Parts: sequence; C-alpha cells; structure tokens
Amino acid sequence: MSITRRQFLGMTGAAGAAGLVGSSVAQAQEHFTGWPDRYGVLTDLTLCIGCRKCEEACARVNDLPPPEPSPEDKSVFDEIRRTDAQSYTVVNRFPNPDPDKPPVYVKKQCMHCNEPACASACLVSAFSKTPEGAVTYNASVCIGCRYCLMACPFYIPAYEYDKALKPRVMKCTMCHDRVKEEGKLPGCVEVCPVQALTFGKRSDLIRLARERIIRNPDKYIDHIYGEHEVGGTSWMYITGVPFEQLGFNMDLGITPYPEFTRGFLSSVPLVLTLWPVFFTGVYLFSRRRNEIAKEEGDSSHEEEAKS
Amino acid sequence: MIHTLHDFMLFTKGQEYLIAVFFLIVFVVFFGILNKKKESTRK
Amino acid sequence: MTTITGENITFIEWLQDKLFLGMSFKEYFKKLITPFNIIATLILCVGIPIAFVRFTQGLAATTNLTDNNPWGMWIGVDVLCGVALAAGGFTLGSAVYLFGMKEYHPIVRPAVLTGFLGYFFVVIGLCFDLGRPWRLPYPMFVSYGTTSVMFLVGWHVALYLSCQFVEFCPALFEWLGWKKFRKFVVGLTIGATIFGVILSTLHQSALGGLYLLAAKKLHPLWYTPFLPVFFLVSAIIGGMTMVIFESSLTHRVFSHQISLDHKKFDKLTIGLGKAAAMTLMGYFCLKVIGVAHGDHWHLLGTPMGQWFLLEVLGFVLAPCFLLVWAVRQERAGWVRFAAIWTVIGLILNRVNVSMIAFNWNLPDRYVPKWTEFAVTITIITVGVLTFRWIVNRMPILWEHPDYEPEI
Repeated sequence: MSITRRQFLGMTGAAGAAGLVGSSVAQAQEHFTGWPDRYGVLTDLTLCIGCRKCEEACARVNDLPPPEPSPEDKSVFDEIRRTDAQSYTVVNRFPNPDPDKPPVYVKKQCMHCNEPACASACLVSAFSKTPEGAVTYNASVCIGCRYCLMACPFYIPAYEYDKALKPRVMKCTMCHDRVKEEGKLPGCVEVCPVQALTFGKRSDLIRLARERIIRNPDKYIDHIYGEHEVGGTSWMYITGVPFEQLGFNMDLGITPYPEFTRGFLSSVPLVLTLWPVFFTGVYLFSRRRNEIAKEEGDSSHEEEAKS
Repeated sequence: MIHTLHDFMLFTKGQEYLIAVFFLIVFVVFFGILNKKKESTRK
Repeated sequence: MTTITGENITFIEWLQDKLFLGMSFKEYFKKLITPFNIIATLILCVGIPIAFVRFTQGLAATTNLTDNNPWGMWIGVDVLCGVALAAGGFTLGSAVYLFGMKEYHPIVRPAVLTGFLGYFFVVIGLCFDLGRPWRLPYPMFVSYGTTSVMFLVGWHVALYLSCQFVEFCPALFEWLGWKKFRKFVVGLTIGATIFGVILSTLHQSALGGLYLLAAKKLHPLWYTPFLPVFFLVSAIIGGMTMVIFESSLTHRVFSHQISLDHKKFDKLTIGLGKAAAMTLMGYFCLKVIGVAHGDHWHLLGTPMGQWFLLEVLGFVLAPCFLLVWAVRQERAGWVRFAAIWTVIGLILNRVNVSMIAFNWNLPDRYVPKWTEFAVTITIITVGVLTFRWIVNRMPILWEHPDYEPEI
C-alpha cells in the first residue's frame, strides 16, 4: 500500500477532527495555549509552481465564481493581488533574487490565527476559532461593521460591498465543513499537484517543517512563518527566499492581537464601579458647598435685619 | 505592557518619566500665566 | 388643552401653537422661504436620492471603500468626529449638575440638545455605513461579542443616547405642558448625568480603543497604547470648544429668545475658553508622552512626522496659546475664533487616525467618493434643521416662566 505523507497526514487529520467533536476544555487554564489537536496547513514555497489549481479548486468547493483570468493566463502575475469577495485564496509571483532560479509563487489565504484579531474584534461573535483550528464566520449574526477587516493584520477578510441586502464578509474557512463533516481534505490541499500544501495537526506540521529545514539547511530559510507570528497561526509557511522579499509582513510581532485591547477592556469594570462613587462624591460636595453658602447668606441677612 | 526586550529597555530608560516631570513644571508655569489677572482690569 | 399662558383652546389651535409657532399654516409656510432653507432643500434634493441608491445598490455604488480600507468618511467623520464634538452635553452637564457651576446653567440646555442630536445623527450616519443596518440591535439582543471594543461602543452609545434623552426631556415636557412628567424626569437629572459621565468616559475612549487592533496599519506616531486616553481627553476639549462655537452661533441667530446679556455671556465664553486652554495643554503633553512611549522621535523628520507635528503644534498647541492670550485679555471674540480652530484640529485628528495615517504604507489609498461627502453634508443639514425646529419651539435658550430651574 503506497501512501504519501500528505495523504497520511490528511487522513489522520480528518479522523482526528471527527473525534474532537464534542470535546471541551476541562478547566479554565492560567494560559490557554490553544486547542490541543487543532489542524493547520503547511505551505512549502520551494515546491509551488504557480499553477493556480488551488484557486480553481477553492472556488469550486466554496461555490465561488471561477478565478479570473483562468489559470492558463500568466498575465495575472503581473500584479500582486489580495483576497477579495470572489476569491478566498490567490497566488502571487515574486522574482527570485537569484536570477538563475525560477520565481517564487506565494499562495495567500486566511492564516487561521491561534488567537484571531477578527474574532476578538467582532461585536456579535460572528467569528469563532474552532477546536479543529479553522476560523469560521457566521453571516447570520453579522451586522456588517467591517471591524474584522480593520483588525486583520494579514489583510485577508473581504466584504461584498456590491450587495445591498445580504452583504457578507468573505474569507477562507480552511474548508471546515468539508474536513469535519465529510472527512475530506481542504479543496486546495487535495488538488495541489506538487504537494506544496500539507494538511495535518499543527504540532505535527511544525515538526515536519523543522525536519525539512534541518535536512536541507541550504535550501530553506530557518524560519517557520506562522509558528510564532501574532501568537501563532494554523496556516504556516517555509521558504527558500527570505520572507521579506515575498510580501510577508515581518514586523507583526508575536503578541496575539486580542492582547492589544485586553488592557482597555479590563479597565471598563473599574470605570463602571469607581466613577459613580467619584462623581456622586463631587455632587454631594458641591451641594454641601451651596448649602453652606446659603446658610451664611441667610445668617448675614438676619444680622443685617437686626442691625 | 512589556512584551519584548525593546519594550523593557524603553520602560527602564524612563524617558517618559523625565518628560512627565518636566511637563509637571511646565503646567504649573502655564497655570500661572493663564490665571494672572490682566493689568488694565485693576484700574 | 392649554397654551403657555394657560388659555383653553381646541386641538387645532393647540397644534398651530405647537407646530406652526402660533401662525396659520399659510403664514408659517411663507416664513419658511429663506435663503438658508433654500440651500438646505437643495442639499436634501441631492442627499436623499443618494441615500436611496445606498440602500438599494449597496456600499459599492456610493462609496470608495475597499477591502483594505473598510472604514471611510462615514466612520471617520460622521461617527468619530460626531461623537467627539457632541461631548459638550456631558461636559457641560457634569459641570453644572455635578460640579455645581450654576452660572453655566443658561447654556446647558442647548449643549445637552446638541449632544443628544449629535449622537442621534451619529447613529443615522452609522446606519449608512453598516452593511446590514437593520441588525443594529443584534449586539444588544442576539449575539454578544464581549471581547470586542466595538461591543462597548454599541452598548454605550445606545445607553448614552437614552441618558441624553432623559436630560433633554424637561424641555420637551415643558413645551408640551406635561407638568407631572416634567417633575419626574427632573428628578432623574442627577442620576442621568452621572450615568452619562460614566458612559461617555467609556465610549469616547473606546472609539480610540477600536484602533488598538490596527496595530501595524496605523502610523506609529498615531498608534500608541494611550489611544483611548487621547480620544477621551480630546473629546472633552471638542465638547467644550463646540459649546463655545454653538452658543455663539445660537446667540446670534436666536438673539430674540435670549435673556442673558452680552457681558455675562462673554464671561461664560471666556470661562469655557480657560477650561479648554488647560485641557489642551494637558492633551499636548499627553501627545508628546505618546511619542516618547514608543520612542518614535526619529519618525518626526519623515513626511508623516511633519504632518503629525502640524496636527500637534498647529492645531493643539497654537490654539491653546491663542486661548491663553484671549482669556487673559478677556477677548471673547478671540476665544470663539480659537474654539473654531480647536474644533478643526479635532476633526483633523480623527481624519488622520481614520484615513490619512491609516494604511499610510499601502499604495491603495482611500479618497472619499463625492457621494460620501454628499451624505455627510445631508446628515449635518438635517441635524441643523432639527436643532432649529426644536429651539424655535421648546424652552432651550429661554427659561420657561412656569417652571423652577432644575437646580
């Protein structure tokens, strides 16, 4: 039986995902380090050939319009694209600093952060980080404030600005339903002809990535993008060309985005409890001052009357 | 919040403290100027 | 039914008295034809069809919003500036009702009305921007995103609008002649004011807090962990200077309604100017500490840095110094000028945070579409018309002879 590593990881992934349904975190922990068996995808940029089959497959499994222009048309690479309301994923081309080597193709989609900025930004909890690792969106509660688009450090979520009645936020779901309900691989991973994408448990993927880097130190840059960025992401990348030259933002830091508003949010109960005390105090103080002024005024009038 | 070594150095460097103390003095002077009565009103 | 003077009248007469200012419909309609009303009508003739297009064709038809720039002018100006400039209601309300600065009582009602209408029209503006505005009550009743700063903003603005309405009610009930209701709401004034201060503190700062998540998108000179404090302090300044501006306007336009003499009014203006000068100085110091906190001194030399300096020196420190001079020389006219300058500075700050310094490093720059300007101007116009409609009818600028003042 011949089984590739990709398929293997995929199968265990799907089975594991099914097993995870219904499990819950037993106790509130001091530090929640994420769902233990969450999944992710590792993109090996040294393997990608820019065929854009992933874009096609993504559109097909997610009922999106087929990618424009078609994968055969290479002019699409003349500009750097981002994800939009019609495409959950796009592949961009970057020149290789070594002119003898082929250009580098970078697939872009939701990173599925461990602690997503979009989820912390949403005022109706439309986003959730599922135990399986995907960050999913529920359009049935979305009010369309687009704070998620503002918050996302990777410029991923897109909005259906042209719809008047039921505009939605659009972004990759890591094929959450396909993986969880049908036990299949995400559309892009399944179709990739060169196995540049590997689906599996995030912890396994990190091990796999490190293994590749250690085995081929000349081929890979010693960095797994997404291992620590913004507190870690489910989708990760390894590359042969420095990430800076491939449109990756290297100054995002390792602080999970929800941390940025945490301090402010925790000041709210303090204000709610202290301000009434303080301002009622001020009010009583000023009222007392007025009473004293009035009494003094009255007594001085009396004195005047007496004299 | 201290997240990185850089933040830590920023914190210990204390330039903010110095500036804040400086502004404390500035504000006292500012307050004095703002509340000084105009000469001509005392006529 | 009775008139202000207590005569018994029919319903039609009552309606005429309340709605048409005691005139017949014909007289009233004739009086409406003024240059201001003609311009306002023209604005509405443009704005209302655009509103129709917005709600039938979607945001793409009426805005230049993109996936990279999801918030444009309607958030940056209508919401951020609107809320900050409507802070006069809570600033003056707490000064008069809580701090006991009774001499400001004559201008507290117009300030509260400005605040209430300001917030009301902010919500209207927000409805234009939201993708599904009919779901506005969702964060209150359907789904709770308690980790979101936006959740706070939503709740607080909704509650605060109610507070402001309670504070506005005495004038409304005096106009309608509902004495018992009036007495009841007057009893709520202190409570509403204190609750209003709490809510204002929280949502004014929360609007700044929203941008804490735009960590790498907002230029470092504007992005600091102190953003909530900056927004709160500058809103207090905006509230005070807006009260100076608004009261000087109403005193000119509605001079026949006002009993307060010019000298006393100038004194109030100068007093507010002094408070604004002090707060501006505090705000300036905070802005400098913000730069020090991030150690971003080296960025001041860049083009964005110069823009930052223009905002902080030209629109915070400079009007502050002018206010100091004007307060010391007791020149109310100059205080008013400096107040307008400060208001422009505040708008500049909100525009910087929401549009100019946001995504400053992206080639994809946002410039509002003309329809976005048109909607904003339409909303402001409707706000001014509503303000005038109420001031012409209710005891906002004058004290109703039948009632004791609230304090």
